[in-house]
Amino acid sequence: MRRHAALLAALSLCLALTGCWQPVSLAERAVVKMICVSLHGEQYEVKLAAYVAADGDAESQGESKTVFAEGRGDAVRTALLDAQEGIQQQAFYAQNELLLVEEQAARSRLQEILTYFSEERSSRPNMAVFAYRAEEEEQLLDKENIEKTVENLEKMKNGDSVRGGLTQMIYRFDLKGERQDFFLLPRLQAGEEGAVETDRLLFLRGGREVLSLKGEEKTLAELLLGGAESYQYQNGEDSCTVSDLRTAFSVSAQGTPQLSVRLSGEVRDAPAGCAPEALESSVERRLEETFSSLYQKCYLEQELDPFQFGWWFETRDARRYGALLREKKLFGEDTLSFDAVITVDP
Amino acid sequence: MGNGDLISRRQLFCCVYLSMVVEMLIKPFSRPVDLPAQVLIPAAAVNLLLLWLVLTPLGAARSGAVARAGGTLPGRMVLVLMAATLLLSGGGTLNEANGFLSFTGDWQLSFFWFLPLVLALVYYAVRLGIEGVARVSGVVFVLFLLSIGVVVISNLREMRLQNLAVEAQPFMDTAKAVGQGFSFSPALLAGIVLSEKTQRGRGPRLAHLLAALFATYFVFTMVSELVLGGFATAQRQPVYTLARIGGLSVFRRLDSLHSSIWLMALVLKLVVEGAAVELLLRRLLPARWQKYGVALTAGLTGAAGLLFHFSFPTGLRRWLTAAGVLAVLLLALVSRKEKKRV
Repeated sequence: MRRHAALLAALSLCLALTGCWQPVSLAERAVVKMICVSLHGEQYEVKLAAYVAADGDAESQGESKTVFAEGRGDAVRTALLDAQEGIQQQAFYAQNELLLVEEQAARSRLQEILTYFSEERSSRPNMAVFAYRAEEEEQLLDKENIEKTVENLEKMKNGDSVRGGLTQMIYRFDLKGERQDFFLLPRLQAGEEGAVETDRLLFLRGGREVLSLKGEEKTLAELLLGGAESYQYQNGEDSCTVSDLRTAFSVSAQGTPQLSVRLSGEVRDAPAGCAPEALESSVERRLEETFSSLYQKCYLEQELDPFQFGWWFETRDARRYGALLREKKLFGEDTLSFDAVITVDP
Repeated sequence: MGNGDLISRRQLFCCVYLSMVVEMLIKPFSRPVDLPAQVLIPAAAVNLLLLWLVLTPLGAARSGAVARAGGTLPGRMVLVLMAATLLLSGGGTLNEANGFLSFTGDWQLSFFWFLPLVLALVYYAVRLGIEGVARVSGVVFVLFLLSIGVVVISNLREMRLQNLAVEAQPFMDTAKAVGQGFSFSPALLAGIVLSEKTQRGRGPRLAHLLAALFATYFVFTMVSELVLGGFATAQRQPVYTLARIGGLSVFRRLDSLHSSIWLMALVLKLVVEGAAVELLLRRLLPARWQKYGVALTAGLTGAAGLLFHFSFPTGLRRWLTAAGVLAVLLLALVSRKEKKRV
């Protein structure tokens, strides 16, 4: 028994080897909460927002203040090191969940930036990545509202926000382009007092933006990508929420191979006095029209498959999928059909 | 030999399983996984079947095989080959453990601190005897299973069915993966040697061991692909990446917790291999030298570790596989011959 205990105690040395050595107290750390990356000419420019103990010592009773730092360099790493020079405390990245990339930098260097952060041990592979417009940088990093902005962005990332939309984490990007040859990135729009929402979905390929979705198309795209669970329908004065949205896939058994996508959902807050049948057909028509335009832009014009319809096709009928792929007819006018089935709960 | 000196088959199963499974987790020198689960999982099944075929000739002769081999010169040569394989594997494991620590840790511990620290631990554990190690292995086994369970549960929300790649013609890739992926873990040699310490000299049930390894590999591969998809191809250690992604409730990162348990398993592997070398040395060294067996084991493991630190052989796993397979086949041959002769 004594041997057993002694050996277990000795093996527990491993715990000491995994980071409990040379501890750095919280007061000596600057907890990075947001990283903004942009380009300044050919150089990277990095801006950090970090929380530090309010009075810089261990007696701060948990209060914190935000410090900002910026740096430039030929690579993201050197820019970050340069930025760290501006903070007295030791920068701590393990808590950071937000990476904001300026639109121009995202277009031309997103792969490089994400590869760096995916390989960097001290950062997290589940950081949420957003694009932002250069003119909004000041508002996003506004000293007065930074804590609210960070809180809202973290809520958005964790799906706690009403206006969440799609968030993309680093590990969702196929950095080597083996399965997808494009990147999909939500773009932020900053509002008053730290309010944030995504206003566009950017599709980047080969160092340029090939498509940008907004409005209804963006909403439907987010639904199909699993980034939203309900759909807000607005028609003049009338509005309602379609919830319990589900997507079902099937491939026609005979004739021309065709993938059928069906989106179903339920309206529980129909406007008073509104005929259920009329509302159903009106919501369905809107969704089908939006899908038609989305399909045109993504699949027919740009040959992008963001919703992985190809995968659903292949898993349901690999033989016919293979044939269509060989003939380069996978996504055409007649290889995909979409319909929406909405029911109104009176 | 009293019962206190014996270990159970279950304890030996834990030792060998942990030693083998930790190799799947901690792969700092391996290439990133660039094949889908659809290919890797059948390839692993075929590889484990091949492993079973390699170990089958030893089957009936396994009980007392090492003892019988120690009685003849050719047999002793086989034992030397086994000891050398285990020592080289120990050297590689030392470097892998240090590499893993550097990869996961916030601060970098010099190899020259790490080496004496771990070697002292190995020396102490081997000196205590395999009985103590075997009892501890049960605790590490439970911790390890908990760790894997937590990795899976904490990543449930991140899984996406569409991340599973589908290949219409996976056979060529599977055949390629079988060729590239076959490896013989020296921990199996340790299992054969240490089975002498079990009642009736029988080691862990091979079928159970291979089934457990397959189940673990299946879980690792599926969860990695379901969560990471194409991102996994850029990762050197996909399972560790999962540990960094998954969080439970307010605990957003649990990777330090996992890496400490995995490191325990890695050190346990070193100890298990060291204990096997020490037993082999008892059969190989003259009686008056046997009291130095433990020190010699730790010293030679350290020397191999140091050698590999300065020049790590890229094909070490292939060499260890070749040496391990050869040793098992020769041991079976020598043991059968000796059994017939007696």
